[in-house]
Order: sequence, then structure tokens, then C-alpha cells
Amino acid sequence: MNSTTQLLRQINPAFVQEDRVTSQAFRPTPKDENHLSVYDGDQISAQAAWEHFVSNPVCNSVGVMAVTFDECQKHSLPVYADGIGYKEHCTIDFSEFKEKDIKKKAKVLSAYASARGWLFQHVSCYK
Amino acid sequence: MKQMKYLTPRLVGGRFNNHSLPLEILKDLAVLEEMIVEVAKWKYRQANPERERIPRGFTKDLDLRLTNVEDGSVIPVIMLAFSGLQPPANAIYFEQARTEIINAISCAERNLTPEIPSEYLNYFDRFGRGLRDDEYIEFTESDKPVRLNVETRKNLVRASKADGWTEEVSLKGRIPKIDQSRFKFELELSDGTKLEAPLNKQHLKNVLEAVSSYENNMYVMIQGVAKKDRFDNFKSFESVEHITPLDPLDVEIRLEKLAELSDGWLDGKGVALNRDALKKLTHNFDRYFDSDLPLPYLYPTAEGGIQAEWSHNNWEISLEIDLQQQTGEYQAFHLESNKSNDLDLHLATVDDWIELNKALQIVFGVQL
Repeated sequence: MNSTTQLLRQINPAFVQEDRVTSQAFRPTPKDENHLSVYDGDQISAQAAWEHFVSNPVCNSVGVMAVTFDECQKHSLPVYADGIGYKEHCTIDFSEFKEKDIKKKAKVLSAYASARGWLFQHVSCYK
Repeated sequence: MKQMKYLTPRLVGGRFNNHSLPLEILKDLAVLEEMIVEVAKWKYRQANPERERIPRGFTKDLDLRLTNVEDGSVIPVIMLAFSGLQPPANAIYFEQARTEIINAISCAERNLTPEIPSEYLNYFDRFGRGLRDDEYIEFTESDKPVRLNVETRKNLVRASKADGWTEEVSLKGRIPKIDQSRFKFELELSDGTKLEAPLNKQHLKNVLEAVSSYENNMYVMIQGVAKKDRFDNFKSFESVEHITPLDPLDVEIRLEKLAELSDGWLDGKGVALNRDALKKLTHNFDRYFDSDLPLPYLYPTAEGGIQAEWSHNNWEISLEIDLQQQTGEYQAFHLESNKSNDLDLHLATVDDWIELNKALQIVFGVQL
């Protein structure tokens, strides 16, 4: 992993309206212990990551967006390549921050990802 | 012409609270006149069984007129006008007709079967149709006033043994189909029900646009008169007054869609959203959200809430709503300057909606 590595994030269908993605897509829930799961884009393509993700029947995704390792670092968000569950798994760690700051970080990451656009999109978005 | 006070129904609630008479209620009053005349003829036939026909000119010298609108909330004063010095003999049947109609409403209030023949009860399909859920018309003849509201009107139409009834409605949906040869189109409601509607020339442009944008989820709102069956299901439109293309971010449509999510929607987690709470939120948005502001994008939250979001000039704004508690956490964050504004709102109170509107007006530069 290096500064330009893209960290691939799956986007739930309900998190898209009129092709706009909610900042929640880049915010971990307290149940996730403030860890956001992403795929290491150096190890897997966006389409392959999507196929891997939706192969789990409870998981749903309309496509893949990404932030880079560097963008996370710039906002003091550590990234670990931990291989938990599958070898390409990485974690963006928000645990050092309070809830209001986590929301701000999510807004920043979401803006980066939206500016980059979809890396992979499966059929039409949920509207 | 001379005249005497005939009927002073009191219109209460909703639109009548500001002491003015909405023009569309005049349609209901016109139907009331039709009903009064027909019931008066029935009373005449009852009193004169030997007569096969109603005398020619039964209504010639009599006329019902709206002469004034008094306060409290709104009281249209309906006079019985006549051409001679004294009311003609037929006036007695008009008096009896008024009593019969008021008695019928009184029966409907008490869930009793009205004595008036069912064909006259059919008039309640159109009289009272313009009333909304929070409105009623009060009639007073004896000590106890009787009220015609949405429920009593339904009872009266049911008692008429009609196969169904009509209602003035505003329904939202998509238009999948138009049949120009029959001057018809279909409105598809969010539950999949399709209602056929008459196509008027003045609506053709909007209907064609909606049909061609069906796949892109273009929604319209149709205001008109819809037919319902005895089980209260919509069957079709009898008439269409207005067709309005909806904002792609229409709050009601979006929240209806999100209401369909079931538990586990977020990768096995994700709590389903409470439908009643969503309806309340829809109502509050419609009532209190400043219509000069852009509508928000709306998303579900993992905990079964709603997150509203706006983006404007590097401001990223979110309002995370707890549907059960009716609370909202507002955060406006400027991506470049890192400025932020956080508010905790109680969305069951009007004051906090005003506070939300003010916070957004500042970001969007809307004139206060």
C-alpha cells in the first residue's frame, strides 16, 4: 500500500439518491467499533471487489467508490491492511475521534470519493 | 325578489379557520341545492300521493341564493328567494327537505340508517366531497347541531347502497401509459395500483413528459376526483383538475420508498424504518420546512432513522433524525475552512423547525 492506493468502498443501494451518495457510506457505525471496512485497490479491482462483496447473500452494493490512502492520512485517519476475513481487507480507523468529528471526517471522505466518481457501478442506482 | 333565511351551515376547521370561503366549496353548495330540490319534490309526492307528476313550475318562483358569508368560522347564509309578497305554498316542501337532509346527517353520525330514500343519499357522493379530514359542516335545526365530515359522508354514501363513491384527492405516482385514441392515461401509485384517468388537452404536455420519463422515476401529483369501491380502494379517476410534475427529491415519495426497507437492509444490519414515524416526518416537512430552501437528499440510517443532506458551495450539511424521539442532530461543515455549526433539534416543536430553516437559510443565502 502506498499514498496513491485506492481504498475501495461498497455503496449500499439505499445510500444513493439521484446518483448522490450519502456521507454515511464513509462513516463507520458505533457497532463497527468505528472501523470502516474497505478493499485494498492495489490488490483487487473495483469490479472484482464488488463481485466478492455481493457473493455474500446478506450484502448488497450498487457499486464501488474510493478514497486514497493519502486522503485518509491527510485527515489523521490511520489505515491498516489487516486482511480480516479476506486478504484484501483494510480498515480506516476513526476510533480516535468523537462522534461529531467522525461525521465531519465522513463528509470529507465522501466529497473526495464523489469527486472521483464511481469506479464500478452495477446497473442503475436505487432512486 | 323577497327572501327568507333558509339555511346557515357553519363550516369549521382547516381552510375555514381564516374566515374565508374556498371557492371549491361552492361546488358542494351547488350540489346541496340540487339535493334540496329533489328531496322537496319527494316530500311533495308523499303529501300528494294522488298526483302523478310534480306540478310544472314547482321551483319556478323559488330560488336558493348565497347572500352573505358570516364569521364563525365561515357561515354561508343561504336564503330562499321568492317572487311574490309571501312564500309560495311549495316553500313548505323546501322546509321539509332541509329537515330530512339534516336528519339523514344526524342518523349517519349515530351509525343509524337514514330514513330518506337511498337515491337522495347519492347526493352525498358530491356534497361534502370537498371536505378535508380536519373540516366539517355543522347544521343546526333543533338544539343539537349535526356535523357532516369525512366519516359521516362515507356513512351516508354507504347507506345509499352505491357500488362506490368519489373523493377529491391529491395522489402522487408515475405515468406508465397514455392512450391518446381514448383520451386516457394511467397513474401508477407507489403500491403498484394503476388508476385510469381522463386525459384533458391542457394536461397533454405534462402527461407526455411523465410517460417518457417513467423509467427515470419522474413523479407527478394529480389533483382531481377519484372513484373508490365499497372497500375504500381507489379504482380510477373521474376527473383531473391539475397535474404537477414533482421535484425529483420529493420528500413524501422518497420516504415512502425508504419505508419499504426491511430489517437487515444494511448488509444484514440496518433497522427497518417505522412507517407511522415516517408519515409524521413527511407531514412535518410539508408543514414546517421552508419552501424557498432546496429539498434535502434523504437516506436511511443503520439505526432506523433518516439522514437529510444538502451540499452547497463546499458546505456539507447533514441532519440525522431519530424517528422515535423526533430529534435531529444538525451539522453544517465547510470542507475548506473547517468551519462548522452543530445544533441539537427537537423536531416535534415548531420552534426547532424554524431554527433549522434559519440555519439553512444562512448557508443557502435565502433572504430572511
